[in-house]
Formats: sequence, C-alpha cells, structure tokens
Amino acid sequence: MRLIGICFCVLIAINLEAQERVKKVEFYGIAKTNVLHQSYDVEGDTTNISKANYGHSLIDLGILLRPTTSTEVAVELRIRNELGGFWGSSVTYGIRRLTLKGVVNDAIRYKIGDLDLEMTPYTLYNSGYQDLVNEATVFQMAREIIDYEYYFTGNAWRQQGIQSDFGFELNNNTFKSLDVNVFSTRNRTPDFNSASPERLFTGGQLALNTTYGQLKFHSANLHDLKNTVNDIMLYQNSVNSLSARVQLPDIPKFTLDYEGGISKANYDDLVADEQITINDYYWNLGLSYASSDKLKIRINAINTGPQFRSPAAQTVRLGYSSSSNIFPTIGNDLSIRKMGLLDYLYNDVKYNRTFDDRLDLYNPAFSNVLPYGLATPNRKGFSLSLEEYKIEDKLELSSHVHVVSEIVGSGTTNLKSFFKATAKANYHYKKWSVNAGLTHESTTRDGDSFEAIDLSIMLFDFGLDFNISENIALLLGSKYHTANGNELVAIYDNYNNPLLFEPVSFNDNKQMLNSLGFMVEFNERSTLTASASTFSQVDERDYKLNQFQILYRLNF
Amino acid sequence: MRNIIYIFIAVVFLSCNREKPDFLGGSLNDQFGELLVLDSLTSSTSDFNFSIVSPRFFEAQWSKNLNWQLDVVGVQSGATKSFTGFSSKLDIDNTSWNGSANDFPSFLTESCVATLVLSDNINTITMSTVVSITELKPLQDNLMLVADFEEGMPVNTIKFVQQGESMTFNIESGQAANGTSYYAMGGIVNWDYYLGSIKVPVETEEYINVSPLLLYFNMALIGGVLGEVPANQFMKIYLREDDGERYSYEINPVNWDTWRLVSIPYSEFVLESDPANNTKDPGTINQIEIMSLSCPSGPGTIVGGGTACPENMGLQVKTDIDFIAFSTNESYQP
Repeated sequence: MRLIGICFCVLIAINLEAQERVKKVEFYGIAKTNVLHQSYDVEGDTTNISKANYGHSLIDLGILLRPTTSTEVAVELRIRNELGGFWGSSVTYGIRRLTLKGVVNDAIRYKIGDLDLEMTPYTLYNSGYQDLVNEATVFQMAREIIDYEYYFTGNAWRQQGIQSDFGFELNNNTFKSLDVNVFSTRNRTPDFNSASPERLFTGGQLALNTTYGQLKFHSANLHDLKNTVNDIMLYQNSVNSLSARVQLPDIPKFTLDYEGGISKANYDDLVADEQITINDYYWNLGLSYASSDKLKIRINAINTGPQFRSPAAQTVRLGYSSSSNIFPTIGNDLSIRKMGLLDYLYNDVKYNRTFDDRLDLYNPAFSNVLPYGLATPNRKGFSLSLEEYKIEDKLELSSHVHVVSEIVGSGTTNLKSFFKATAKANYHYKKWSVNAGLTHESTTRDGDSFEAIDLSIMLFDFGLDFNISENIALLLGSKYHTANGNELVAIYDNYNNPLLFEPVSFNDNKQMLNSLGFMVEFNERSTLTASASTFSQVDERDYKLNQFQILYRLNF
Repeated sequence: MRNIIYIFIAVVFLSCNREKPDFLGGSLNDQFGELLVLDSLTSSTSDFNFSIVSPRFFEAQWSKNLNWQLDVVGVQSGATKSFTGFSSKLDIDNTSWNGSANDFPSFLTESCVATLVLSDNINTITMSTVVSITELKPLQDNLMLVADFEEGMPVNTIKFVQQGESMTFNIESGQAANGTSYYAMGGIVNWDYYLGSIKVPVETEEYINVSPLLLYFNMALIGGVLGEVPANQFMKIYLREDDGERYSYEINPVNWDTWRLVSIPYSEFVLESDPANNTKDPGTINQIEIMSLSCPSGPGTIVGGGTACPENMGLQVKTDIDFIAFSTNESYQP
C-alpha cells in the first residue's frame, strides 16, 4: 500500500509538472489479464489431480521523465495479482525496468540501468526458441507473453549496467567514420555461502565504416571480480571477433560477409594454485545474392571449434528438459510427466533470464544440429538459405538448409553428421492469412552398436487467420512434433568438456497441439482473445491436456 | 577492393589450424562397449626368481579401459601383492613385480595364484594363473635385520615376563609374518599394565650419519580377534642410546588380527629419560626394548596406579611380533 501511495503522489506531482512543460513526462503501459484452465486426461489415472485453473492480472505503468533535453529516465512499475488472490493476498509489486539515458555534449550517448544487449550470434546473442518454425497467430500471442515476462527482446539479453556509444567522423574518402559502443554489466551478485564471486560482463563493438563496407570488432568478456568473496576459483571468458560485410564491386548483386574470432576461457583455481585455459576459434564465411527485393539467396561455410566458449551466445533460452508444476506427475505410480509443446507455451517451465558459464542441458528432440545456435561448439559445414522469395506480394517463402558435422568425435573417432532443413511460407489473400513452417533434423553416426546414432526429428507449424469482420478474427493454430531414434547426450564437466554420455532414445514419439480461438479487437489498443486447445503426447506415457484461455490486453 | 577479399579468404584459411584430440570426453567404448577378453592372463615366466634382476610381470588384454585389480596370493604364506589400474591391458608397465607383498606376511618360496578381476557396469570377468616363487627378493639396501626369530632369539636378548595366567613369551612356529617363526607375547595379568618385554642389543654405528627423519624402525605386529583379546592392548618400544637417553613410541591400540608392518621414523620417538645431549643419534642406539601392555581387569589395586578395565576380565592379551629391522630412507618393503 505504501508503494501505491508513493506512486500516486509521484504521479500527481508529475502530472502537475507535465501540464506546465509538455513532453517532460510521458506515461505508457500495459494491462493484461490471462486466465487458463487446463485439464489432464490419462486413462486409469486416479491419483493425480486432473484440473488446474490459474492466471493473473497485471498492470505495468511506464513513466518517461525528461528532466533536461538530454536526459531521460524510464521507469516501469508493476502491480500483479494472481488469479484467486482475493483482498490483495497474492498481490506483488515491483519495478520491471529502471533506465537512465542521456547525451553528453551532443556526442556521447549513455544508458544506465536495465539494458538489452545484443551483438553477433557468436559473441552476445539470445538464440531463439527451438519449438517453433513459423508459428500461428494464436500461439504468437502466448509467446509474446513469455517474451515480455522474461525480457526477451529479439535476440538481446537483459542485463543491468552501463552502456555508452559515440562516433567519430574520419574525414577520409575511404574510411568514413568510426562508431564505438561499450558496456559493462553486473552478471552475477556475490554469494558468500558458495564462494561465488561477483561477475561482470563487459564488452563492446568498434565499427569502421568504409566505402567498401563495414568492418567491426566485437568483444564479449565474462569475468569474476576478485576479493568480493573468499575466492576459491576465478573465472574469465573472453570472445574477440572481427566481422566484415563487403559488396563485391564487379558483381554488385553479391555480398561477401565474414565473422571470425577466438575464445579464451580461464579457470584460476586458487586452492590448488593451478590455471586451466581453454582456447579455440570460429569462422563463418558467407556469400549472398540478391537479384531484387523479391529474391535473396545466401550460402555460408561455418567452422566453430570444439573448445569454443561463448557463454553470452551459448545459453539456451528455454530449458526443453525442464519440468512444470502444472500436472508434474503422471499415472498412479506418479512418474515425472514429460513436458511438451503446450507446457513450453503456457506453463512455468524453465526460462533462462540471463547467461552463465555452464553449457546448458539441451533436449535433442527439439534441436540437435545447432542447440546453441550458430555458436554451438564442434560444428563444421555449410548452410544454404533462401532468405526471401516473394510471389506477387501474396506468398512469401524462405528456407534454410544446414549440412554440418562434428570437427572432433564425441567419445569416439567417428563423427556425427547433421542435416537440418527449414521451410516457411506465408500467404495473405483478402481476409485469409495462412502461415506454415516445417523443420526436419537428422543426426547420424556410423560405428559399433554402442556408438551408432540415428535420430530424426520434425516440427510442423500451421496457422490460419480469418478476419470475420474488421474487429473479429478466427484464429486456428496447429503444432506437430515427432522424434524417433537415439542419441548420446554429453554430460559436461566444470570446464564444459564432455565427461560422459547419456543415452536417450525416442520411440516414434509424437506431440500435437491444436488451438482454435477468437480475437476481438475493441480498438487499436485493446484485444480480447479466447482460445481452446488440445494437446496430446505419444511417448512412454501417453497423455492428453485440454486448455481454455482468455487473454485480455490493453496498451496505453 | 580485391585485396580486401583476398585478405578475407586468407584470414579464414590461415586460421584453420587447431590441435585436435582423438575425440572429446570419455570413450564410448569404455562406457558402453562389450567387455571381451582378447588375451587371457599369463605371467612373463612361470618361475619367479626374485634374487636376480629380470623383468617379472603379468600380461592380459581386454576390449575396453576399465578399473582392474590383480591379486597375487601365496598359497602357503597367505601373502598378497595387489596391482590396480585403469587400462585395457596388463603389461610390464603396470604389473612389474619385485617380490614384495602389500604388507606382512611376506611371500615364501611357494606357489602363488594370481587372480585378475575385470568389472564394468554389466559384467565381471575373473581370470587366474599360477606362478612359483623360486627365490625370494633380496633384502633392501641398508637394511639391518635385528630379529626374525627363525633361528632363535638374538644373542644376549633379555626377556622379562610378569606373573600371570597363561603367559606366553616364546618363539612360535606357524603363520609368521616372515619365514615360519615369530615371537609370541601375551597372557593375562590382572594387576598391572605391564605383561612383559624383550630387550635386544643392537649396534647401529653404520647409521651415524643418517638423519633421525630417515631411519625407520620396522616390525611386524599382530593382535588378535576383538572380543578374544582386550580392545585396549598396546605396545611400547624403547630405543636406548649409549649416552643413557631413552626414546619411546607407543602403538596403541593393537586391535588387528592380521600381520601388519609398523614402520616408525626415529624422529617420531620421544625422549622419556633424563636428557644427556638431548639429541637423537641414530648411530648410538644400543638396545631395543619391546613391551607388551594392556589395561588390567582387576579386581584389586593396580600397580603403578590407574583404573582397572573390568571389561578385559578373562581376555588374553596377544601382541605377537616378527621381523624387527632398521631401514634407511624408506620403510621396509615386506
């Protein structure tokens, strides 16, 4: 209540001030109500609870304060109430964002507080979801809630710290200008109980703009700060890379791009008085062809070393092997329920808000070719992309193919071969809009029975939107996922080296999620969506989930 | 412009050099491969003559790296020599044997059974072979054997035995730590801690320049089965120097029932007499005294003070010894 009171006084004061000076204060916000009902259906299960209702309402109030022409403070305050939290019993308050930004002498921009940072897929990059190809609108709306709650903006990681950027004009015909962007953030607070020191993430980019193209230096450094606890181990990881993009003068439709860099992970064991250093490098050379705005093709050769370590690019966004508290067990023997497509979209599975020094566990049923995106260590090969192909502004097609293999075998001298093909299509015609996507991955390795691998996975997305009227739309969405075969997943040691291999197998596993919804657009700022979904999983333990969701959103 | 492109390509391909291991992580063959014996267990020779310098080892080969154990057990002495390792074969590098045992008892000239146990998560394979020891290993360099009781007591040994019940302070034959004879010390004395002792004269001039840190007193020692002997029986060892200083070391308790090597650096002995030069001089030791002691059960007054241990009532002390020797630089290898 005290926080509400303070906010109220601040708002009145700010409003009075705002009446005097226009645009010194701005308000924005979002109000949201999300209500879910799920029911669980397993034949013969008399032990587990079969229904769950949950949800929340929240208001995020954003305030932009501009005390001077060169300074801006952005604050987002949150009030959230869980479904069923009567009389304020489940109300939580908080500050979602606090950022100060400004310009010094009209030359140097700075930002302090919450920052969304992104560089290249090898240095600082929040790789996307693995359970979508080209998702239906009804699922995108659920996905936006996750992105908003976990601060997933594009491929950026939300960090707290300071950032500054500035540039120089070079007065040279060839070398036009130099742009500098640096940041330093607090990645981890010290923990005295586990002797984990404070950890900072610092880095930046230096971009040289030339008449031929741009040459960029990127640096990402995750490092412990000494003497913030009784230090036992100090960790440091740095990734430094160079990237360039050049349009070939003789053949102007072709563009050459390159990124290459080195990583160095250093573990300083202060108790044993020994240091372990792990070095490796990567490169990515691409050639793209754009005949017009309607066709873009690209081919890339990739090589990412087995010891390449880049925590800010190798952390998975969603733990596809994690569990939810919604129907956590299955059957009368209370086995752990395997999560599925519905859980990843609607339930409380594990999302990584930030990155750390450990390679995350990944689920080969969802991504085995590049589980850590392009920064996945121990991969070499090439990719071919039809980045964009438009037909009469109605049909958009794109596809990507990766043909890669390991550089060094895992537990054997035989190498795994990977193949990944993705195709997406969007079609718009009058009131209809259809989108579809398909990803197929296969992993193979020859050899003795204990080392042979043959895994194939497929994910299909389909969506259909039909605008019944100007304000009402019918939304249909479908997801289908299959996994069949076996894999040996590495268990990593403290230095992210594979230690042992855990066999996993998928016996023609299938998942399907279907949703049907209505979206009512009251005005351009508020929408109400109601959807009904069914989910079925065919695995060691088959089950079905049904869901009904009401989602109300108001932007102001 | 072309130059820039060439630099690009050069950067890419000049950087294509990295040191690669055979594979990452533990071997899948070791983790999941089938355990098969490729070559059975054999010895490099059937007769092991340890008196001559010659390689003596065991050989075998199997299909995967795993933790293995090879035990060589003397049929007559019960002596054991163990080899362990993590590999896929036995060879001269990991099973080379000089005739020593893990601990007392030592090997005799006898037949030995060597048993190799290979075990992964699924299977356990056991293989055996027999070898004969035709000659024992020579004693270590700089070893001074004080008493092994094979040919009686050392000359001028002084024996003291208290009045008690079933007092045994004699040379016995049988399962000795080394050879076939040992010295038994035991009995029941319910009124005093002290059951008896032997004092053996020694001459250690050869150790005059040896540091007390590097002179080891070695002895084989065995107690008895707990419940049949007092749990708190113990031994005390005095080393006397010719200047009258007496240094002691207490082995407390002696509660094991198989022969063990007790090897104590002279530097760990403590002065128990009035000091003379208050310096441990390894070259001036002239007597070893080994005392058998135990808490008396009572009833009645305990000589020398202290409280009785009624729980020892009827339990016969057993503190048998064998192979008393000095060694330098390292403990004796049984």
